[in-house]
Amino acid sequence: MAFASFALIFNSCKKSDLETLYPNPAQSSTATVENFLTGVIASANPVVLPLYWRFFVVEQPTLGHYTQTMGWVNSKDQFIPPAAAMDWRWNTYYNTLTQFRVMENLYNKLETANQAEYRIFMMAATIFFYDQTQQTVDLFGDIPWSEAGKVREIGNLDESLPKYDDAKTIYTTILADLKVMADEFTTISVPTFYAGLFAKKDFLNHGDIVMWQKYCNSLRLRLLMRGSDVMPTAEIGEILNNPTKYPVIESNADAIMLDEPGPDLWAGQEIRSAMETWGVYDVAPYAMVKNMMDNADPRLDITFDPNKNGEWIGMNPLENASVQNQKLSDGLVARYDTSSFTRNTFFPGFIITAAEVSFMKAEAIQKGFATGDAKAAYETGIDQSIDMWFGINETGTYRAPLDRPTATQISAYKASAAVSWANNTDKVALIATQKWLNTGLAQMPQTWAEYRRLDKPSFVFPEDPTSQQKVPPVRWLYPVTEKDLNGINYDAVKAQSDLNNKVFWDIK
Amino acid sequence: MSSKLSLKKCGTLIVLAFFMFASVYAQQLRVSGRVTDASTNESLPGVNVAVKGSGTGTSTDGNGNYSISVAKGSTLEFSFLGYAKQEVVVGNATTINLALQPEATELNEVVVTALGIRRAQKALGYAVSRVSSKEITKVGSPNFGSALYGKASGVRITSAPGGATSAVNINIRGMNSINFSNQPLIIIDGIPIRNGSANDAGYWGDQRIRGNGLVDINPQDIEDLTVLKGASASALYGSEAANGVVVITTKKGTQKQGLGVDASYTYLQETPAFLPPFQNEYGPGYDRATNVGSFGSDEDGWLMETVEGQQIRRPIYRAYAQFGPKFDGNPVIGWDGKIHPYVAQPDNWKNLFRTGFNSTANVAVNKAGEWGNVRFSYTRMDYEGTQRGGKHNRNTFNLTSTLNLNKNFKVDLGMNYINQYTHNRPYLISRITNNFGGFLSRFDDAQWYLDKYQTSKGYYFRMPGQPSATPDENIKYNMRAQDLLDFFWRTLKTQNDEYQDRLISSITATWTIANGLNLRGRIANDFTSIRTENRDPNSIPLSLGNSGSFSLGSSMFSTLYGDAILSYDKKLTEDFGLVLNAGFNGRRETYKGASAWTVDGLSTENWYSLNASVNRGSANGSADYNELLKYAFFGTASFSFKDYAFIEFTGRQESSSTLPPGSNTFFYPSVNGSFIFSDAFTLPSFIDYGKVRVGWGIVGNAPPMYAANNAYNQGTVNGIVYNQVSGSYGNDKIRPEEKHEFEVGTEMKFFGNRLGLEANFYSNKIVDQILWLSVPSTVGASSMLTNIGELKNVGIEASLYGSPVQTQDFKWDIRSNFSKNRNEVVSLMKGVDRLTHANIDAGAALIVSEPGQPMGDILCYLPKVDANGTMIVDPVDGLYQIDFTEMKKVGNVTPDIVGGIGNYLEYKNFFIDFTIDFNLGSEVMSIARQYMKGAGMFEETLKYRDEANGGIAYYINGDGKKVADIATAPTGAKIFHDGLILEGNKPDGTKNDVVVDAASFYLNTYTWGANPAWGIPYSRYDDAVVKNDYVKFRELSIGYSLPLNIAKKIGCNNLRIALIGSNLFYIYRTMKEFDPETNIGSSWVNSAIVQGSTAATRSMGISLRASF
Repeated sequence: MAFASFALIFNSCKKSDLETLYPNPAQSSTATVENFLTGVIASANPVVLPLYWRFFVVEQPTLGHYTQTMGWVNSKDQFIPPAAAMDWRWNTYYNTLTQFRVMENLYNKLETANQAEYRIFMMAATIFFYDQTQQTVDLFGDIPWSEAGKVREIGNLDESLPKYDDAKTIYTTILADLKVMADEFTTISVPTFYAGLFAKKDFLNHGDIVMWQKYCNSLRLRLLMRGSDVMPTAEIGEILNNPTKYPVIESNADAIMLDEPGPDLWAGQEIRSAMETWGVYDVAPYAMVKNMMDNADPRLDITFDPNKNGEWIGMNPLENASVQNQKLSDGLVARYDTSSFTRNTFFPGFIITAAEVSFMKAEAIQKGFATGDAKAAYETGIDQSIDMWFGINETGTYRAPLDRPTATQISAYKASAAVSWANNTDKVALIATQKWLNTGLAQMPQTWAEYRRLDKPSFVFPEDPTSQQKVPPVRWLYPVTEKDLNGINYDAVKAQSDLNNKVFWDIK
Repeated sequence: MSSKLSLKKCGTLIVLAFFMFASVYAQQLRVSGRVTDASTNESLPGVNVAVKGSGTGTSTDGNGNYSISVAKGSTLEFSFLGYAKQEVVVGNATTINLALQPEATELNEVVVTALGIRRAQKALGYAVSRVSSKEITKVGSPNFGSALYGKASGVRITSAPGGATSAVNINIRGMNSINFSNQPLIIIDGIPIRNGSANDAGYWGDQRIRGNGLVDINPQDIEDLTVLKGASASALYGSEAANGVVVITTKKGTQKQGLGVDASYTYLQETPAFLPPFQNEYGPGYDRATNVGSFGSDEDGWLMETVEGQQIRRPIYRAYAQFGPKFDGNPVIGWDGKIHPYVAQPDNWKNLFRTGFNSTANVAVNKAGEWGNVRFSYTRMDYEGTQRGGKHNRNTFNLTSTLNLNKNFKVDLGMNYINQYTHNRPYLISRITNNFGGFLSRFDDAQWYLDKYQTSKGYYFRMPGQPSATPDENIKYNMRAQDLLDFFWRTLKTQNDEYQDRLISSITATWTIANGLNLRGRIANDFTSIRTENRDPNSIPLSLGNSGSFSLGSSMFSTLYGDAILSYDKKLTEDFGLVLNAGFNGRRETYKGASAWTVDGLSTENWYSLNASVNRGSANGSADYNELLKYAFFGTASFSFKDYAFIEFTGRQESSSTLPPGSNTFFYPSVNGSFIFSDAFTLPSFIDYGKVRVGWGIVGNAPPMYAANNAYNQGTVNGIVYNQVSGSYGNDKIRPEEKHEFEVGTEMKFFGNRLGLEANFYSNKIVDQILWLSVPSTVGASSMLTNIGELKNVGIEASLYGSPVQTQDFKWDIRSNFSKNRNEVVSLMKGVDRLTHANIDAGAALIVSEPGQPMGDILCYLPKVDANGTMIVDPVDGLYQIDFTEMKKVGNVTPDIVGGIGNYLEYKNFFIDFTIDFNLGSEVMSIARQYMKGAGMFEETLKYRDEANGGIAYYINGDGKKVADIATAPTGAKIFHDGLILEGNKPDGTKNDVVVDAASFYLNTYTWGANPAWGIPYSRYDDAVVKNDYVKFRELSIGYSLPLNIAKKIGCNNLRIALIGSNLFYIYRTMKEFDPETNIGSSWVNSAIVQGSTAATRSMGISLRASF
C-alpha cells in the first residue's frame, strides 16, 4: 500500500507537469503575425468607431467644445479636460502600441524568406499604427515611443520604463519610414497565398493593397501638412506632383473607413446612448449651424434637426448657463440630426476621407508646396464632402434619406459669398472652414489639430474667469500614472504638461 | 512518547491478567473505597462509579467514599469530569481506593500536527488552539466554522448571513495578504480539502450568497479541531500555510463491547434579528420644497386623488425618503389601489423575511477491537432560511475505519460522502438596503409587495401605464421600491437549483518496519460535482417582448492528494531522544465546468429548453478547465532531552505549477523548541506545570493559478480571428508572498490544575506581497503582477481556563481567550504611496492602505473648519461646507481585539453552557446607513422634525427665507416646527444663524456621492463610518442529563436534552442599524463594507443526544 501510494504520487508529480500546467488553457500560447494584424487594427476600434465611451466621456466634453463642433452648457472649469478622458485616449493608444510591438517581435522572429511573404501584413499594421501615433502626438506632444511597450520583452518594470521622444523626431521618423513603404508599394508583389490570407485578416481594406498604398501616401500628406510650418515641405510636392508613383485618396469610393455592418464593427446603439443620454450631447453648435445657415449649406438639413419652432439655432456659448438651460428645456436649440447621427446604427468609423485629402491638396498648392489648381482642389473637396455626408444620411434608417442636392444647389453654395474661392482673399480661412465642416464631429482629433494649426475658422469662447484654465487648452496632459511610476522619465517633460503649451507644429 | 507507549502496554497486560482472575471467581461481593485526586490527595465527591456493561452504578459521597455491590471479575468504571476515566477489575479485594489523575495528565497528550505527524503537546514549540467535538456541536451550529466564535485565541470568524448555505471565513492572527486569500488551509484527517472564497465581487458580481467548501463538513463527525496558527506550526505546509492551518480529526470507532450507537437531533428556529431601528412617525415624502415643487403636493406632503368619484389623499409614493406626512390613522389610497389607514408598519422590514428552521438528525455506530475499529455515521439536515423561497437539504455519510492487518501493518480508510440540494440560495438584499429604488417606506406593508410582485397570470408586476395582459392589475401609483417587488420576483419566481455531490475519500497505510521505524503512505481525493439549473420564467407575455431564460451548468472539482512519510523514533540514550521524519507529498487540483444557456429569452413561455432560445445563433455555451500541481519534499528532526527540553527543525522544498518555470521551487524552514521548567526545576507546590516555548518559521502564499502566466488572447471581430495580448501582464519572475514569523509563549497550570494559562507573543512580516500593480501603459501593460510590499503583524494571545468552583453538586468551568493584533503596511514599492482597495460611490470615500498604517484606512471628506476648528456653515443653504481639497482618515477596517469567554455550570444533572465573544477596534463603512439616514428611515432622524424632537419654529418670509424669530411673523403666516440651526460659523466668522428644515438637512448631508461638480456639495460619509465593536451572547445551552440509572431503564447509556440558542443578543454593540456581522465576502475589503447581504438571524431550539 505504502509503495503503491509512493508510485502513484511520484507518477502524478512529474517535474515536467509543473511546466505544462503553468499556462492558462483559456489562452493561446502561440500567435501569428496575421492574427496580430487584425489584433492591432481592432485594438483601435474604441477610438475609430463612434462608440459610447469615445463620444460621451472623451471627445464631446473636450474636443467637441474646443472645436465648436457641438453645443454645450457653460460650467465652471469647463476648459479643464477630465483626467478620465485624457487617460483613456492615452491608454488606448498604448494598448495599440503594445499589440504592435508584439506583432513586430513575432515578425522579427520569422525567417527572412517568411518575412518577405509577410511584409504586407507588417506594412499595413505599421501604417495604421503611425496614424494612431500621429493623433496621439498631436494631443500630447512628446510621448514615450521608441522605448515604449517593451515590458514583455524585458520582463521587469524598472528597466521597461520608457523615455519620452521628441514629438518632431517622431514625425520625422514616421515620415522617413512611410516614404520607404510608399516606394516599396510601387513594386510590391504579394504571393497569392499571402494575398489571400491578407484579404481575410485585413478587415479595414479587405486586402486591397492599392488602398493601403493610398492610405500610406495620404497619411504622409497629413503629417507633412501638419508639420509644414516647422518642417521641410519638399516631400509634399513629391507626392502631389507624382500621383502615379504616390497615389492618394481621390474619391469617396477610396475613403478609408470602417463602414461595414456587423456585430463588432458598427455604431449600433452606442452612438445613440452617447449622444442622447443626459439629453445634452446632441446639442447643435452655434457657429456651425450659423455658418451653414448663412451660406445655405446643402449639408445643413442632414447634419442638424431644427428646434421645435423649425428654426436652425445652435447653442450660443456666450450665453450664461441658466439662459442656456432654459432654452434647452424649452426646446429652442437645434440638435444633431437623428437619422444621420444619433440613431444611425451604421455611422462609420472615419480614418481618412477624399475631401480631407482634397483640402490638404488645396492648402498645399495655395501655399506653394505643390503645383496645380488650388481652387479646383478646394471645390472638389466641397463636392466630395457633400457627397460623402449625403451618403452617411442614406445609411440612416430613422427616417427616409433626404434628396441629394442638385448640381445647381451645390454650385450656388460654392458661389455663395463666404464660400466662394474667387470672392475671398483669405484662401486658407476658406479651406480651414471647409475642413472643419467636413471632419466636424466625426474626426474630432483632426478637427482640433487643424483648428490649432491654422487658428481658423475663428471661434469665440466665453472666458472662465474663476478657473485656472480660462480659455480652451491647446494640448492635453500626461496621465498621473506617468508621474507616479515613470517619474524618472516624466521629469524631463513635466514642464510641457501644461494645457497652454503648444505642440511643436502649432507655432501661431 | 515511547515511555507512554510502554506504559499503555503494561496497563493492558495488567487488565488482561485481571480478566483471567475474573472469569474464575465470578461471585457477588461488596466493594467500597475512597476516590481522591492524584495530585492533591483530596477526596473527590460526586465521582461516577459504574459497573461496566451492567447499567448499575453509584457515586461518591461528600468525603469521596463509595460502596457498591458487584460480581467478582466485573469492571468498575470511575469517571469524573476533568479527570481521566479509570477502570478497575474487581478481584478479591473489597476495598478499592483510587486516585484519579486530573485531565492535566494531558501533559502527555498527543497532538496531531502538520501532515498528520503526532507530537506530544509538551514538545511543541509553538502555539496551537484546540477545540473539542463538544464545543463544536453543543448549539447545533450548521458548520464547524460558525461554531468557533470566541473559542480559539487569535482566531476571528466572520460568517455570511443566510444560514447553513453561506460561507464562513476564518482569519488567524490578522491579515496576511493584501490581495489574495486570507483563509487558512483546512486539513481533514491529513487531507487538504477544497475550501475557497465566496462573494468577493459584491452584488454585481454575484447576487446570491454562496458557500465555501468548509460548510460541507459535518460538525457531528468532528472529534477534535486544532488550529496551527504561526509559521512555525504550519511550515510543513509551505505555500499553503501563510494564513494558518485548521487540522480536523474525525471521530473513530471506540466501543470495545457491543456496538456503540450515538444519536442526536437538533431543531432550531431561525428568526430575523437585529433589525434596523426605524422611525414610525413619518411616511414617504421629501423636503417641503421638493414635495410641493416637483410633486405638486400640499405643504404637508399630501396629494389628492379622485377614486370612484371620491377625493382621497395619498403621500408621495415615488419618494424614497420618509419626510412626508405624519402618520395619523386616517384613510389613504395605497399604491396597490386599496384604501388603507395611514399608519406606520413597525414590523414591515421583519416581515420581508420568514421564520426559518434547521433540523439535523445524526446517528452513528461504532465498534473497536483488536482487529481495528470502524465508525459509520449518517446525518440529515433540512434547512429553510429566513428568506422566502429558499430550501436546502444535505445527507452526509461518514465512514472511518482502521484495520490492523497484522501487528506491523494497518490501514486507515476514510469516506465522507456529502449529497446536497439547494434551492434558491439567499439573494443579496443590496438593492433593498443600499439603493433608493428598493427602500421600503415606513407606510408599506410587506404583504402588499408579496401580493403585487406578480400578476394573477404569473407575470412580472407592471407599473402605471405599462402594457400588460392585465392592465387593471398594474401598480396604481408610481412607487419607489420597485426593486423590492423585483426582489420577490427573483426569490420566489426564479427557480435556481443546485445539486452537489462531494466525496472525500482516503486510504492510509502504515507499516512498522522495525521498532521505531514506520513508513506511512496516503492517497486521498476530494471530489465535488455540482449541477446547476436556472429557470427564469417569462416575465412578460411574448406579445410584449422576449423574457425568461434557462441554463444548465455542471462543474467538477477534484483534489488528488498523496503523501508518504518515513519516520524514525529512537531513544539515543537514557536522556536523549530523536525523531526523524522524511517524506514527500503532492497535490493536483482540477476544475472543469461547462454550461449552456438560452439567449435573448424563451420563445415559448416557460418552456425550459435550449430549443426555446429566442436567439439560437449567438454563443450560448462555455467550457472552462484548469489544473494545478504542487509537490514537496520535507523533513523534520526533533531532539528531546530528559523529556523536558525539546527542539525541532523542519524543512520543506516545494514546487508549484502556479509559479513560473525556472523559479517555481521554494524552501520553507522552521525551528521550534520547548522547555518544561516545571519538570526541570523544583517549583512552589501551587505550580503544577510550566512550559516556555519559542518558534520561528517561514511559510508562503503562492499566486493563484495562471496569474503569473503570459499568453495570447484570441477573439474575433466580425468573425475574423485575431490575437492580442491582454492589458494585465503576468510576471515570469514572480515570487510567492513569504511570511516570516517568530513567536514565544508559555503554558502553565496552577492549584492542582484548577487554573490554566497560556500566553503567546508573535511577530511576523509578510514580504513580497503580490499585487496587480497598475503600471504606466507606456511600458506595454495596464497592470502587472508584482511583488510589491511588506506587511507586518504583531500580536499577543492569551487564554485562561479553570474550575473556580468544584463541589459535589456544583461545578463551574470557565474558559476565556483574548488576542490583540496590530497590523501594519510596512512598505510599498517605490512610486506607490497608496493602494486603493475600494472606491465607494464615485470617490465619496476610499478604503486604502498606506505605509506606516494598518491595512484598510477609510478616507472621506469632512466639513471645512476655520483656524479654531469651528465648522463652517454655508450662509445660504445653512449646511456645513465640505472641504473637498483633501480626504481625511476617519477609520480603519482591521480589527485589533477578538476573544471570547465560555462558561460551563453544572448542578447535579442540570447544566448551563454559554459563550460570549467579542470583536473590538475596527470600523466599517456602512453605506446602507448613509442612504437610510439621509432618507429619514431611522429613529435618530426624528431629531429636529418637530418641537418634541428639538426642532425650532420658523416662518418663511417674502424672500423665501426661513426666519426663526416667529415674533416677527406677519399675521396668518404659517409657522413650521422642523427647523434647525447648525452649530458653527458662517464663512465671515459670525455665528451661524441660518435656519434649515430637518428634511433638507438629512437629504443633503447623507446621500449618495460627494462631489460639488455633480450638485452634491454637502454630502459627507464620516457618519457612515461606524465603529464595529461588539460583545455578543453567542451561544447558550441549558440542559439536563438523565441520571444513568434512569437512562438505563429506557435503554440508553446517556441521554441529554438541552434548549439551545445561538446569536442570541448583543451585550454591547456600537453599530445599531445593521448586524455587525452581516457583511459578506471572503475578501477583507468586502467584508468591511455594509452592502446589504440579508437579515441577520437568531436561532433557538432544542437538542437531544443519546448513546446506546
